[in-house]
Amino acid sequence: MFFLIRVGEISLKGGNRGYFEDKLVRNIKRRLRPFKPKLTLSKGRVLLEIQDAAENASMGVLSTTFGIVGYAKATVAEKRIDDVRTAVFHEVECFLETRGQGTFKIAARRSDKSFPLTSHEIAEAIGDDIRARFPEMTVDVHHPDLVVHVEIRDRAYVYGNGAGGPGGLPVGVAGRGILLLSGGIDSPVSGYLMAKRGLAIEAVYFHTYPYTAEEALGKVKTLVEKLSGPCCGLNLYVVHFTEVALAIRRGAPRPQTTLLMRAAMMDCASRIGGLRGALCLVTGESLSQVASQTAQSMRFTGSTSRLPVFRPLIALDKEEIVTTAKKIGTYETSILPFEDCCTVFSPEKPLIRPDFALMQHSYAGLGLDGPVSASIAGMERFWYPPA
Amino acid sequence: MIYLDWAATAPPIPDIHVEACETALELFANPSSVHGPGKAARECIEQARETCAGTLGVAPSNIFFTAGGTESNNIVLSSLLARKAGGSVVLTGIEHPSVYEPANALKHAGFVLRHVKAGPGGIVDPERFAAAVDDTTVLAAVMLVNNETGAIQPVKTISRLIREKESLFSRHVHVHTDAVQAFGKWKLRCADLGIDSLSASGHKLGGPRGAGVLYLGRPLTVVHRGGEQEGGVRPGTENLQAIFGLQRAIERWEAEREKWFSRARELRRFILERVSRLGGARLLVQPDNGSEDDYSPFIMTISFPPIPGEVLVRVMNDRGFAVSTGSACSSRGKKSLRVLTNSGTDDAFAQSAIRVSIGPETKHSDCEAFCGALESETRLFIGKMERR
Repeated sequence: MFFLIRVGEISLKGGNRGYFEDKLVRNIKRRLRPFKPKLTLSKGRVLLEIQDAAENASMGVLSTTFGIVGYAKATVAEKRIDDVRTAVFHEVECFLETRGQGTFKIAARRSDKSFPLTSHEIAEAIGDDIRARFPEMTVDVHHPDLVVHVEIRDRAYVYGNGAGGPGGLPVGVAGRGILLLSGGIDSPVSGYLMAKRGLAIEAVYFHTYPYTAEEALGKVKTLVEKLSGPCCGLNLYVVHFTEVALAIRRGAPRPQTTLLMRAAMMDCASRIGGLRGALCLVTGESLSQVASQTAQSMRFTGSTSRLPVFRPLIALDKEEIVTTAKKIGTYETSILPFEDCCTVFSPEKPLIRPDFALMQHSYAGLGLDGPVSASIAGMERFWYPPA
Repeated sequence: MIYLDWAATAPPIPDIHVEACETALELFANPSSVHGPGKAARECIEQARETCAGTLGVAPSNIFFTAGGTESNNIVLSSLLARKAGGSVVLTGIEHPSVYEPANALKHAGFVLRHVKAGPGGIVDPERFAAAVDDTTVLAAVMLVNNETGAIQPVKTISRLIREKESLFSRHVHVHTDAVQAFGKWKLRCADLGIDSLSASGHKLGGPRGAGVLYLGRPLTVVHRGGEQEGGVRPGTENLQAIFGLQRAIERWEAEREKWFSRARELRRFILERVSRLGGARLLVQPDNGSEDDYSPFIMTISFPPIPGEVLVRVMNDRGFAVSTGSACSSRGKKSLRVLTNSGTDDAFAQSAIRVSIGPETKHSDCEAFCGALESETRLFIGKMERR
């Protein structure tokens, strides 16, 4: 069977277009590898040929692969009007199976000018045939229920309404970023949105067992699994952070602990980013959502990173983030009641407008270099293949 | 691993389990069968019934075997569903989920529920409880020993007050007690308690899981159908192995009760005194306020705010001590705070509480090691809090 895949923003690219297209083709291939897909690029379209048994798997992949704006199951026919007509009738029959009746239009394109009929003539001839054979179908060129596309290229391609893709850019075209993933609602959404802009994601989770439960780690693993499809596979690095957290708890004034912990996480994540050739860190921070996410707080917590910190949710309301989390299927996991941070590390009155110089001084005075390095040396890696 | 979670389940008593297993292999026949092997199996179960009846001071015909305490409680609560008219159900706010949740479900059948909280220290005031009973009340449920706090409830006084009241509105109120944490450990007399039903379980005594007891002083309409076993109260082929093991566990407790009880008291006293001296520790009751008889010597609740109870459980687990937060049956949910907040404690206490429960095999050195580990693990967090 065949799927015709439409790309969106990629088609606007100039000299780099081939790079983007290659990446997209490679990502689709990786995700559908067990089904041995064949992909070909032609004039801004990607044609996927795959075994019939993989229909549902293909639709699942195409509707969640960044860079795709739409796709449709297509019939590839010989460039003969009779063959094209048969294919179009098949599309109409499929439509009538679910809808019973409706309106239609034929959208014909002829890039092979040697085909005997013009685009207009194709639409006219086939449209008349449909009306004659399927009296329950009527023409509506403005708001049809069914658009049957006929494209005459190297061969004839016929497809119906199809379905939408997620848009964005193919994962990997923008390099690699380190996502600071907690078990909460925000960070998975943040990773998803950055992957949508072409960033290859690697996730880092800071585990403070026994002060947080093993179940919290299990929750994070489930979240990573859910992201692994759209992200085309990703690594999860579990950093055992208890010693760092305890060092902060022992040595820092209580109100500063949350910010110092966040700063240590940024420090640690950026060092991991250095090892992994990442270009940036990604967090789920949203301005003023909590005390550690005020501009003053983020100025400090971000200052320990050697990489730029991308915060795609910075201007979003919680409700907007929740809506996206529900859409991408991470919400139900995120709200499971396993906290990713223990209250013993949280001050009763956290700082909201910290003094930058004072915080830097506190951080330097804690001597966290050793514990942070040790936590990186002992981190575990879990690979989640593209599902 | 030092096991301090006996209230969740007691470690199996090895020789009893072996004997129960051998008995089950030998007496494999269905106790309802009329042939010789069936009769032998029936005889075994009837002997166990006599032992249970003896330990409660009732007739064997009033004892019914179930799958456990939860099922026993559910049989009593669900019997109300067979009533044509509704009515009110009065229960304490500290009941085990196996009473509390089925009672909640009765609301959908039109019953009115009245929850009576315990006072400070986790003990229900009998007058307050009896005041909630009126001429619409069909069932009152008060547990005997609370599974989270160890607080012994004044069941006898409560039933006496209810009996006095019911004479005014000339109808009988069914008084049920969940005695899962008390059965076998105390010498109980149902007539003395003034109750109509009582539930108990075998695995809390070191017997096998899968055997519970339901004492019924008066018949109930049972919702489950499909067999005549246990007089139709609990249809289904009897679990001979577990029932036999339950009998043996009761016998063991009866023989050793005084010794085990007084040793548990000493250990409880030791733990509470040591813990009360730790910085930031909070106890449900102070060890020296003369209330020792009001609590089970086998169960203690201690709290180290702001350290969450579940965190302390994990920390202590890593140090080699098995303790739990609240009820083991629901310690993963926030609902588990219900019993403590209904026991007169504040939220900070409830959030940070852990349950330490001991048994006959608990050694003094275990308790000493536990207190030492508790001190070293809580010092960092409590110390910081005090300096703030």
